[in-house]
This record gives sequence, C-alpha cells and structure tokens, in this order.
Amino acid sequence: MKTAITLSTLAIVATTVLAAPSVKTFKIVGDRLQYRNLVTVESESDFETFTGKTTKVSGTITYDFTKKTGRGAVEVDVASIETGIPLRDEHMRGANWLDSAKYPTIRFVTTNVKSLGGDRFRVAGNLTMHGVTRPVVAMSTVRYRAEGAATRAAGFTGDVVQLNSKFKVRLSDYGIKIPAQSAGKVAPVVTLGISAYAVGQ
Amino acid sequence: MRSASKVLRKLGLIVAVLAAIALLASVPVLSSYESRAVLTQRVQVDDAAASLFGDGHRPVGSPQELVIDDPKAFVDGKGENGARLVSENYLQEKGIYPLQLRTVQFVGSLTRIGLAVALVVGLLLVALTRPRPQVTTTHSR
Repeated sequence: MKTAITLSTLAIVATTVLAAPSVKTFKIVGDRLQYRNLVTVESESDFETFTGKTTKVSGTITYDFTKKTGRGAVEVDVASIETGIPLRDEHMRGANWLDSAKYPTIRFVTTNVKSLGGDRFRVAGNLTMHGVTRPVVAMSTVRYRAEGAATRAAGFTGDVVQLNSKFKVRLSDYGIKIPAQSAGKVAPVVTLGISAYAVGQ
Repeated sequence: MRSASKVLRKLGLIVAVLAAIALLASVPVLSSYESRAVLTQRVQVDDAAASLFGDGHRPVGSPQELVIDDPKAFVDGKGENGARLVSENYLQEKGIYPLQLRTVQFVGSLTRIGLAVALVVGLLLVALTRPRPQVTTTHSR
C-alpha cells in the first residue's frame, strides 16, 4: 500500500515536472510597473561623473530552465534619458550626440548566453546605438521568482524575472563624437547598466 | 610716461594683493568641501526587489564623493567600498543635484592656477614699473 502511494506520488510529481514548460518567455514590464525598471548611462570624467537614467525600457527574455540558457532583446528609449540637468539632456539628445530624433532607441539583442553558476550569466550580444551595431559582452544576473503571494503583493501578474546587467561602451565606436564645448566633461567610455523586471507570458 | 607707469604699478600691486588674498582664502574653502564630502552610493529604493529577492537598493551609477548636507537623504546600509547609501528617490523628490568633490577640486585647481598667474603678472608689473634711481653722469674733458 505504502509502495503504491509512493509510486503514485512520484508519478504525479513526474507528470507535473514534465508538464511544466522548460522554456519560458518573459516580457519586460511597462505601463504602471514601468517605474520599477532602471537603465543608467554613467560618464566619469576628470570634471564630473554624471548618470543618465530612464525607466522606458521594453523587450523580452526567453529562458530555458533545463539548459540554463536563454535569449532576449532589450530596447531603451533614448529621448527619455535624463541626467538631472535639462540643458545637458537637450544636448545629449541633439544631432551632435545621440541624435534621438534619427536614432530613437538603443537596442541589445543576445547572441549567446552562458551560465556562470547560480544566477550569474555571461551574455554576448549585439548593441545597436546611434545607427551602429557592434558586439558586446555583459556580465548579468537573472533572478527568478515563481508567481505567488509575494509577486502579487509587489504588483506583478505571473512569474517574475529580475535582470541586472552592466557593460562599458566606447562612444566613438558608435560614431558618437563629443562636441568641443563638452570636451573633458563627458568620458569617451560610458557604462551602460540595466535593471529590469519581466513577467512570464 | 611716468604717471602711466605709476598707474600700472598700482594696478599690479592691487592685482597681486587680491590674488594673494584669494589664493589664501581658497585653502579653507576647499578644505570645508573636502571635510563635508562623503563616499556615497546613490540607490533607487526598490520595494519589489526587497520583498522578492531581499535586496531593496538598486545602485544608480558608481560610488562617488558627494557633498550632501541633508541628513534625510541617507538611508541605512553600506555600498561598495563602505559607501554610504543615498536615496535617489529623495534627491529627485527634493530636486537636489549633489555637488561632487571631483568637480569642486577641478574648479578649485583651475581657480588656483588663474590666481597664481594673476599674482605673478601683478608682481611683474610692480617690478617692471618701479622707479629706477636716477644716474647722474658727469662729463670730463
């Protein structure tokens, strides 16, 4: 009798595990939850360090729970990046810098995701900025929380993934020239950071 | 001609004295900023991360030495290299753009260089326009 119960329990567990999808797609939250995302661009020069920020990020992440790998694409709205000084924001969005009118988004698409153990990943991908696409590698963390009372209390509907990533970018590689009047105030290499939440679809 | 050099000499003296005073005054001013600057990490308070992943502070940029006089801007906890955490939400809400020690030092260095140049120029003016002792020459045949 005991063996029968154990076997049936195992069968139920096995069915549940097999039925659970090993690959799942998550969509980065927007609308009312958008404020939870954070994309930063940090410039560190001799004169000052400034950080541009935006919450306007969108995209999807697909994760294979069995193979511990995945893929994804993330897009950032350039015009929404703010540095705390309106005049600097204006210059940054202008034709001499990021030219948000012509190139409204910064886009990152993964090409290879490798697990480094735990929630750490080495993510390789192509970054498109200012109309130029170049390969970059970013160290990232992806944390997962199954849907439950805690996720619902935090305002999410569905399973939740938190993505954190950071990498450096040389502006000249993307055809971005620092205007003469800003020379020394903007670093030639900036750090892009992303911290975003995505919910299971 | 003599009156012009007199004016230049006075001007040089004024410039030199003012530059020397400003140079001396810049020392305590800069020290004051340096003593108030604290290594800080700006963080976005993230209640979702706190409840779901036990980590409620998301770093905004890297740690920097900032001059923040409002104690309410600081939150509990320490960041990288022992940096004090500063609430980005609070800074934004209050419209505070903290002064960076790096900027103060950069501007301070430029100012000191400018003042040192002014001091040298002033002293040169004084030296070059000082009245020369009149030499009396006697001609003997």
